[in-house]
Parts: sequence; structure tokens; C-alpha cells
Amino acid sequence: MSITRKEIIRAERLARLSLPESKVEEFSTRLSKVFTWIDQLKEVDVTGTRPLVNPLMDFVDQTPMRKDDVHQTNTIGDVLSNAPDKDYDFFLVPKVVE
Amino acid sequence: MSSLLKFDFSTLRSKLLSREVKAREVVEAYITRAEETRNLNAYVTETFEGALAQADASDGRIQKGEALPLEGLPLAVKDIFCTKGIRTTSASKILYNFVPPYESTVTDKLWKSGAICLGKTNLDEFAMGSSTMTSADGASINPWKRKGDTGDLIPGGSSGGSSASVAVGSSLAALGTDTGGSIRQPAALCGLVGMKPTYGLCSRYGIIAFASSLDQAGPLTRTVRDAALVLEHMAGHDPKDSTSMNRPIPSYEKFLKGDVKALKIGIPKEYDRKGLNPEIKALWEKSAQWFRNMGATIVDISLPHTDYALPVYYIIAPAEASSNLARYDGVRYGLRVDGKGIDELYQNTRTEGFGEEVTRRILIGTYVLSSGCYEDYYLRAQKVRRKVMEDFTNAFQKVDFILTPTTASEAFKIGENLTDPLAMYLQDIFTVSTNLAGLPAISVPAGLSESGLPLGMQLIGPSFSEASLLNAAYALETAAQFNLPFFEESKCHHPIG
Repeated sequence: MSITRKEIIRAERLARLSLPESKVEEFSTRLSKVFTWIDQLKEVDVTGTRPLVNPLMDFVDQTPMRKDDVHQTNTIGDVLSNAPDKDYDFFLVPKVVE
Repeated sequence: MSSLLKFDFSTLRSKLLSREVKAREVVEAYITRAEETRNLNAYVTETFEGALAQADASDGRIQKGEALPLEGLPLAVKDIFCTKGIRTTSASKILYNFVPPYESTVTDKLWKSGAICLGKTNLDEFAMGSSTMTSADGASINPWKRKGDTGDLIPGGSSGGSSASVAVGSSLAALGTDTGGSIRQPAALCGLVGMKPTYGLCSRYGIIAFASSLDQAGPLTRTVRDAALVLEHMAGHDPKDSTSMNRPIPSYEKFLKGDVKALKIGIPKEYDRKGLNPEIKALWEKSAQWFRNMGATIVDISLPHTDYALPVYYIIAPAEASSNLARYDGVRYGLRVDGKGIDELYQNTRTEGFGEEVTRRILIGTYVLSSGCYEDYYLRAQKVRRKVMEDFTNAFQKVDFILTPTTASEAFKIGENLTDPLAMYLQDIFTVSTNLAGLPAISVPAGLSESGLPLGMQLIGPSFSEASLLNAAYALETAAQFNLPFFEESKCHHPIG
């Protein structure tokens, strides 16, 4: 199956990425090749097969929920220590609403 | 080269406990080796000062008779495990300056067991690759060379910094993560043991996520015994990871008896692919014969959906990655590239921060999850994923373990395969199925190719069969008698890049 320029541009927008014009063409060609190969999955009869989201789906009884106890981890100072821009106890970003 | 480098951990541990050597001497020997072999680009961050402090603490505990189980183990950590206060980049420009305020559960457990952190190792960016060539820090180099050819070879990937480091002796063991083969393939290409445990055996807390339903941490070591020792202290339930299973962890080392008489070993016909490298096929047959000679029964089996595993993987892994990598937006950590508004800031940061392979996979993932494509691709892939798992469930009703090659080829030259994503994806052909099914698998070095490069054989087991799987791997290791050449004084001249 071929992936068109339009579809690449839509995926770019959804993923907040911006490819240079020359790359859009290249990605379209390369991804078309990848999807042609992926299309062999259409040969498989999956009638009545439940999707497998995670290999532990059938072991859920052995993955108990933890107690909802309060712990002091990743405090404000810790979390903000890597912020590219911050002020007081907040992350700073460009103005979002006019 | 220090003679201390030649011991595996179980030998070294007895020397440490009898005080024949000090942990400090051991760590100094490994640091010297790491400095001598910097040209391999195995480490992205060295933590030698911290390692010496940890070594002194180890010596203190040994002195007081309070030695911990992994006391003095010189360990390298793939730079995808968050290490508190130590820069963690996932080999991506987008995390070039990230210093985690917390420690991953697996590394925390290892430090509490006495292991010593020598540094953080190189990988393909966000673990997306099979060569380390997609790393923002440049590729690592395999210490092995083809006979009569000094060209640099890839160490495999994505845990390629880890495999290069253990092979050359700049660490005695290393941590990797395996999403589609990223521990087993580099282990095979560097002549090491590499194990991907059952999904849910080790906590994923603090591991930078690539594909959450596939990722699993595991060890790369010189011997099966060392893999057993390290794994025992990585595994176990963690309340911080709801997918880590609550079940007891045995002492894996105690299971290493090498007795495989009662075992049935399956050979899946679908792995005998058209065009399979004849050398690899011959080694596969030889490995099956070793098992026969040791009293095991070899059984032909079928895993009919094998051919579909790789395309399923290349839908599910990018889909999960596109969702996991949405967090890199320039707001809370890592790179920020400013823009006029918030949307432009996100876009500029992500465009500048991600490399080409990561960008490609995010786009594939975004596409297959987008409206109109979800059912045709993502949902269908999850259904075929169940078919792949059911193949294994059926096979394990007939056999105890499955024997396959780990890779379809020996290590290739740096720069090869990079232009064709499909050629690179085929690197994972023998390894991805087990990630889709969540099964444990181990690669054991089994022999050399004609050009003198290591080749690995893979054993796959049912979920949570690690103890008996390690025993079967130990038997294979004993039969194969593989030796790393880098620690023998007579072979010191062996080119290391």
C-alpha cells in the first residue's frame, strides 16, 4: 500500500513534527515500502480472535493493585530540576491563551 | 591488561570473599580497561569516581563479614535506565541534559545487592535499532574483527554499548533492555550470553519507555552462571509497576546442573528460512546434536504464524512508541527549541530533538493509530499477535524449550544496512516473536563463523520458566565451549579497533 504525501503531512501534524519538503517525499517512498510489506497481515484469518493488548492479559490476578498510600517522592523541587524554563513552582511556556 | 579481567563473576566473588583481592583493585582494573578501549564508544557517561566509592563501601562490608550477594560486581548500565543524579539520555538529543531525580527499580535493586556502577552505555536512540548506528552519540564498535579485515563492525543493538563493553572487558556484566531482540542480538554478535526474561519478571519503573507491552530488562554477561546471578537480583514484584508479577524469585544459580536428559527441545520448521545463512544453519544443527548427545529429545515443531510476527511488531512497537514519545515536548525536561506559540515550541523541539529512525517510527505509529487506520492496522496486529502467542502455547504442550538461531547473520560493518529500513528490521526476525508472546529467551554463544565472528543460539521457554531455561542454556554453553579471546595474554594483540 502506498502512503501519500498528504498522509505523511497529516501524521506529521498529529505527531507535532515538521519534516523538510525533501524528506516528505523520501518518507512517503520508504514508508510505502514498509506498509506494502506489512499488508501481508491481511492474509491472516482473525475471525473470532480477541486482540492481545499485553502478554499479561491472562495473568491479571497476579498483578495486584498497590495500596493507595502517600509517599514523598518526586517532589516539586525534584520534578522542576530538569525544566528548561520555570518560575516559582511552575513550568514556563509561551502564552497559550490571548 | 590486568589478570583480574579474565574471571567471571562467580569466580571473582570467591576471590573477593576470601580477601584474595579487593573490590577496589577489581574496579581500578575495569576503569583502566574502559579508558584503554574508549575508541569502542561503549560508554556515553563514565561514573568512575562513584564506582571507586562504591568499591570502598564493598570492601568495608566484606571486611565486616556483611558481603552482599553481588558484592563488587563491575556493572555497566544501558543509558535507558534512569539513574538518580546521573545523566540519562537514551542516546537522544532530546534528552541530552536530562538528570533523573529518581532511580529505576532494577538498578536500585542491583546497587542494594552490592553491584558497582561503572557508567552508562550507548544504544540506538530510544532503543530503536539493531546496530547503535541511530545513537545521537555515534555508533559503538564491536571489539571483534573479521579475519584479515580491520574494518569496524557493529556490536548489535540496541544494547550495543553494553555488549561491546562486556565483550572487551570494560565491564563484567551489563544491563540491557529487549523490545524485539535488543539484548539477545547484540549478545550474539559479541559472543556473550544475553537474556530477555518473561514480560513482567523485572520492573519497568524508571526505564525510558519505548513499547510498553514489549519492553523488558535483562543481563548481558560472559557466562550463563553470571546471567543467573544478575537476573536473580533484578527480578521481582515492584508496587511501582503494575505489570510486574507478584511471584517468588528462586535462586537461579542453584538450577544450573546441566542435566537435560528428560528435556524435549523443539526445532521450529518456519525458522529454517529460505536463504538462511548455511553457516548458521550448520551451527543450529550442531547445537541440536549437542542436546541429543546430552540425552535430550529433539522434536520438530511448527510455529505457523512466524512470518507475520515481524510485521505485527512493526505496527505495535511504533504505535506504542508514538504514544510514549509524546511526552518529549520541551516543557518539563530535555531539549527545548523555542517557537512563537506553544504548538510551534512542541514542533520545533521534537523536529530538532528526534533522529531520523525515531521520527520514522513515530510517524508509522501515528499513522496506524489515526482514525481510519486503527482497525485495519493496530487492531488487526493485536489479533495476529494473539495467534503468534497461541503458536507458542501449542508448541509448549509438546516440548520444554525451543532452539533457534539468535540472528540471521554475523555482525555487519558500520554503515551497512542503514539506508534500507526493511533490511535492518529483518535483523530481528528470530527474536521478535518472543517479545510479542512475552516469553523468556536466552542467547548463548555457540561458535564462530568462517570469518571468525561469534554466532549465538537462542533457547525460548514458556512464561516464567527462567530457572529451567537457564539450566538448558548452561548445558548448551558447556557443550559449545565458547571462549572470549580478549582476556588471554597470548591474544592481547587481537585488534580492538
